[in-house]
Amino acid sequence: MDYEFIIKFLPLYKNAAILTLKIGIIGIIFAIIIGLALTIITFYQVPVLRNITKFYIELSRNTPLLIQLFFIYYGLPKVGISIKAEMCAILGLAFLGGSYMAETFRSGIEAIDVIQKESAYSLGFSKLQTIIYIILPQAIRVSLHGIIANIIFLLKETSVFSAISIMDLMFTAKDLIGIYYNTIEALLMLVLFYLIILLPISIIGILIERKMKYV
Amino acid sequence: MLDENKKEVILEISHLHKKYDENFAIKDLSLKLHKREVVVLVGSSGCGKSTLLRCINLLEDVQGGEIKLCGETISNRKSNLSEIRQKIGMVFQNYELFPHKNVLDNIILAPIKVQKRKKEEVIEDAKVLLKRVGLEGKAYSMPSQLSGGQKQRVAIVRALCMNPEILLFDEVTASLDPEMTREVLEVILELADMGKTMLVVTHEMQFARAVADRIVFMDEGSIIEATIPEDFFESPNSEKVKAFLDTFTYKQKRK
Amino acid sequence: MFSYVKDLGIDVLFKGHNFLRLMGGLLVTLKISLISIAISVVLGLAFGILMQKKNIAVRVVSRIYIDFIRIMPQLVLLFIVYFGSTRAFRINLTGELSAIIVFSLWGIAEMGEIVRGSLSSVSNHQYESAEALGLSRLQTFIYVILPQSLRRIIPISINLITRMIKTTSLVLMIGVVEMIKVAQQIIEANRMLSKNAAFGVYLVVFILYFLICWPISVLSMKLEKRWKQC
Repeated sequence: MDYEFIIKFLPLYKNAAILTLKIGIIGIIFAIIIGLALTIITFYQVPVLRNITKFYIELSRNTPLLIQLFFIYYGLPKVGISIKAEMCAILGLAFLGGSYMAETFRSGIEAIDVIQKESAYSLGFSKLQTIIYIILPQAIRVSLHGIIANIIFLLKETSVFSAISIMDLMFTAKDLIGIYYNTIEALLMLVLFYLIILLPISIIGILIERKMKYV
Repeated sequence: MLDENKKEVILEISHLHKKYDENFAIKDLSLKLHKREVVVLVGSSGCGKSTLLRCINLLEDVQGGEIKLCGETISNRKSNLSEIRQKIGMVFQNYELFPHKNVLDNIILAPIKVQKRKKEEVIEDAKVLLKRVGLEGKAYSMPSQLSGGQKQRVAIVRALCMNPEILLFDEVTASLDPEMTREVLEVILELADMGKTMLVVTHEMQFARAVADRIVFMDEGSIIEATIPEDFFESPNSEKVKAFLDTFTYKQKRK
Repeated sequence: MFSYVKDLGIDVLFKGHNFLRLMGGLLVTLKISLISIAISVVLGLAFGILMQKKNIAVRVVSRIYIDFIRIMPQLVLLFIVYFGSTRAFRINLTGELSAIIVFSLWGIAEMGEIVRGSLSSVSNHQYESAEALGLSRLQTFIYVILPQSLRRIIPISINLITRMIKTTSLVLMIGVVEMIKVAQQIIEANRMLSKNAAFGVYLVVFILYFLICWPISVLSMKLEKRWKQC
């Protein structure tokens, strides 16, 4: 093991990890916003929009992020829409994640019995009050586990960003392997940094799942 | 009994029709409930008794006839549903407590948010009612920590705390074992003693006999017989009632 | 109409053998996916059943295996096997073989978890009532438990196929010439002739992925819905 190599290139990995996280978090926030918007459209059965929503969800869930990114990054400029690589990455992640979040929210709402809604109506709650006090708090609890699973999934998907030349962890590792042939060290650091990013959120997910079981 | 005309009418249903697609769930049904009266609805499953409660509580549209609450027509109302529902307390078969709120919050949420009453005052009321049903120690438990009978008593308190004009009970003991059934039914008996106006759907015949001022027997969406408990159980007029009551008795096989 | 196709750069695909080449790339994608899926289903089923064992060692090892595979991005796993094997074991794996190894390892973990989950979701009463009828343990498993579990296993594993096909797009990053890579080559080669090829060709690849994955997703969803009610 070449410890000198590891110490020397540690900052490079650190920066790459920060970049990955930055893009990842912004993308995930947008994904959640898109997901919520789509859920509201589906819940209220808004005409036209709900058909578009359905098509978008199918399209986004049934294509790989890599081709989504390639199309945005290399394809769109040809029709006059040029977007910076980092923006592309955020856009791609939001495009992919929006549908996953929407599906999770939808199943959260569906998991709540119709009669819960009726019992709220029986007590005189209005439609809006029923959603705010009765349906949403329960739906979020039910979906929480799925939301965290989506966040983990999306953070893992960020690994393809190097394909549109973003200097993320994969890019750094591949670069170092190409230049120095310190394959083992480069890969080890790659794994370590992904663990640093993904372990905490995974553990939070497990803890939440446990807590939900016993309440 | 007092002269009927002198008593205040709480609920008046006249010639009610309710259809699901092309099938009648309720057919030309008329029923009057006076203040402090307890009416028990019986009949085999699918006879329309639960549907009737849902119609009264405006959870279903009706296709004909009229429902009046305290003199005001409420059927097929599209606005101010909340105002009417506040006057009607409904208790469901499967309790339908809000699983994310503790017992006290389940009870006080609607009085505070819907009736805009003061929190302290509502909490006081809630605690008095909880004590009355023997659950003063459970105010801060989550619904998942309670037994079925306890949940149902909380659901009753939740409905009571709104001070409704009438209480509707929809097979509230159908998911409970005999012991728990008893603890819930005793609460309802006590409410009858307190003079609450109630419309109760149940399969517990002994209880029906004990609590009812009048028993209403429904079949295929219509009322077949409506009479005082003694007559209903001892000398029913209709063959359908006789057949129905027979399902509750067993003949000894061995001689 | 034709000028529109030209503006979008789709015309490139109709020149020479370009479209056939793209289909060749698609075949590579499908080959890797299907081989990996086949291995995953067979070994994953065995793995899931193995995890029912109460043995501590089996449990710990399988847990670590599943958790590591599932927490790592598949691309990291591809790098480890493709670049790492050369250094660690002095063997040169081709990109395709590395991909099949990684996707199988991943698929076995996913399948194993699915199988374990659905086997343990069958209630204990089912085991007891089967035993009460005098069925042997093997008979109980084959006639009672497995058929019930399969209703949950099959839809999720069909869905795994679409995930596998989508994930296979990653192999271009370790130098395998699959559909996206072929698209890239076609665009490069026609840079002078068709300026907008990047738009049209990637759009076609995008749509092709959708056309392959979508019906499989729909099938999986339909089966899941149908069997939920039983």
